[in-house]
Amino acid sequence: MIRVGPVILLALALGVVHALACGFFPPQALAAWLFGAHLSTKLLAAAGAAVAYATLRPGDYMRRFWGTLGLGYLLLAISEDGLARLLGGGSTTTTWVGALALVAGNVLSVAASATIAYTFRSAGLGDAFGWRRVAAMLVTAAAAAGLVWVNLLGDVRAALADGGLPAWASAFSYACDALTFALLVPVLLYALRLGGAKLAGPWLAFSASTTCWLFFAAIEHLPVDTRLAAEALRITATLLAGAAGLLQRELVVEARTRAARLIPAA
Amino acid sequence: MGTAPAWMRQRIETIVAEYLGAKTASSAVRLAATSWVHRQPDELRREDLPTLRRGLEPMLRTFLGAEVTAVVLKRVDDEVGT
Repeated sequence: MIRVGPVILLALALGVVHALACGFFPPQALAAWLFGAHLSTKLLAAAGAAVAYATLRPGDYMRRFWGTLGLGYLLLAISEDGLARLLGGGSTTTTWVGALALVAGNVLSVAASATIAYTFRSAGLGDAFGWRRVAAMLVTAAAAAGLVWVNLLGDVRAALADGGLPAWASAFSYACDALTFALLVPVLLYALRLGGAKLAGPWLAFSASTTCWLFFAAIEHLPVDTRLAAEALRITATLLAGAAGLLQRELVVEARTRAARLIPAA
Repeated sequence: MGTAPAWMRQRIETIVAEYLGAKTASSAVRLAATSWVHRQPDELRREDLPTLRRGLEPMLRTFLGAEVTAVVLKRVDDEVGT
C-alpha cells in the first residue's frame, strides 16, 4: 500500500526542484521549460484522474468526481499558451481556444470540488458536523474572496478597457478559484476525519493539492518576487492531483485482490 | 466472539473504520442502526445484520465504490454474522 505522506513529500520535492531549475535557465530557455513543465504536469494530473475513473465501476459516486477532475485538467492543459497556439492555428482562433479551455477547465474543477465536498451528504451523513463546517466555509469563502479580489478586479478592469476575451477568461478563473477554496473546507475536514483509514490516501492528496493551489493564488501577485515559490506550489499542486487518482486506484486494486480471496465469484 | 451488548457495533465499526476512519464508521453504523433497524447501535442483535447491511451499503458505496464495499460487507458477514 502506497502511503500518502511520502507521496505528498515527493510531489513537494519535485516542485522545489522545478522551481530551483527555473533559476538557472536563460529567459528563452525558461519559457520553453515552463511550458513543458506546466503542460506535462497537467497532462499527468488528467491521466491520474482518468486512471481512477477507469478503476471505479459505472454508477460509483466518486467516478463522477474523477471524470470531472480529469477532464478539467485536460482542458487546463489545452489552455496553456503553446498548446492553444498549436490547436488554434491562427491568432484569433488561438485566443478563443485558450480562453474557452481555461473557462471550461475552471468550471469543471469547481464541479469536481463540489462533488467531493458533498460526498458525506450524498452518503446520508451530511449533518454529522454541520455548524462547524458552515462556519469554516464562511470564513474560508471570505478569505478566498480577499485572496482573489485584487486579481479579479484587475482582470475585470483590463477586460472593460478592451482586454478582450483572455482578460474575461482570466477574471472568471479567479472567481472559480475562490469557489474552489470555499469548497476546500468540507473536503479537508472530511479528509482529516478519515484519520489513518484507507480512503484517506486519495482524499488527503487531493486536499493537499487544493491547499497548494490556495497558497499559489495567495502569493502569485505579492509585491515581492515570489515567482519561484509560486512555481514550486503550482507544480506540487498539479502532481498531487494526479497522485490522488493513483491512490484511489490503489485502494480499489487492493480490495479487488482481497475480494478474490474472500468472494470466490468476484 | 464477544457477548457484551455493544460487541456487534464495535466489531462492525472496526471493520468499516479501516476504510473510513473511526468517526465516520461510528456515524455510519449509528445511522444505519437507527434508520433501518430502529435500534440504538449498542442494542443491535445478530438477526439485525441483514437489515443493517442494507442500511450501510449505500453509504459505503458512495465513499468506496461497489468493489470495495463488497469486500467490507463480506468481512462484516464473515466476522459478525457467523
